[in-house]
Amino acid sequence: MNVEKDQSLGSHSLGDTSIDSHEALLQSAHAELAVLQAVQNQASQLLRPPVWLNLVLSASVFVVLLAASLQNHGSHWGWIQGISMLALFSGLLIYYFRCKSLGVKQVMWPRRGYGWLVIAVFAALGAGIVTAGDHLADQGLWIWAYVLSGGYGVINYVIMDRYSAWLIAPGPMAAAVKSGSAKSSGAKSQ
Amino acid sequence: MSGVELDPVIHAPNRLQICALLVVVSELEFRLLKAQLGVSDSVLSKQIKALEEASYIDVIKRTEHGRQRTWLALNRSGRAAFQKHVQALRQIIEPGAQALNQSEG
Repeated sequence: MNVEKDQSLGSHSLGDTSIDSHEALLQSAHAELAVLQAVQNQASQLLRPPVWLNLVLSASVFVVLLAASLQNHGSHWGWIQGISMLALFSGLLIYYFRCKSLGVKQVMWPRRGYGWLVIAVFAALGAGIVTAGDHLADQGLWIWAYVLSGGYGVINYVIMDRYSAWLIAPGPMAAAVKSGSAKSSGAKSQ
Repeated sequence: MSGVELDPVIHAPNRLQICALLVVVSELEFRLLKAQLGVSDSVLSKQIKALEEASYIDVIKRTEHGRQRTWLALNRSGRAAFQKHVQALRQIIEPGAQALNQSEG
């Protein structure tokens, strides 16, 4: 289907059918993007882990980062990190098989550069928190290692709860949502 | 004058929803997709057939625990077509919004 746009004349053709009104085409595009936005929410609900599992995953992330930050400040943090990594890995496995039993197989690796960028940002943030936590603990500010790691755990929980589809497969859907927000701002200006 | 390419296969409302759900996952089971769309088996089968004929999705039948389950996956060309369709929609909206703002200004 080829949609020819002629802004100077304000007329469009949609395949064989001519659509004279520019507004009609715009409304149709807005409606489709609204559907995409609704589907994005639907997909997020499909991929959302149950509260208990999300708590296990976020708490594991918190303890992994905390233990990594404080590893140089006590020998017990080494095995705490090992146990929390095991808990995190087990939680991810439960999440994967739970989704599969419900009829959803998740994307294991990002298909687009944007997905890798999201992973890189989260990894860099985690590494930054570990480095900062270690540095602050050296200066006696232990509490900050807990605060920073806890903050990361909270972010992890919120994202998994609300934006799991976006987190797992950003890209086309993120573009759709972006357009959806453009639509709402356009509607406000009207 | 600029041409905006909308995909006639994806343009249909049910097929748009199917593609939008499949693009965020690796595979989705038929019965779950049916429940999400709120359509009958026959309607969904018809839409899937259209997408399959366009080589946008792969239909995989697997026997798991003695029960056959049908999984659907958007393939590479399907993902590319969906992405192109979304971009076309954005192209329609963005110049439109700009024109609207200019006329208001």
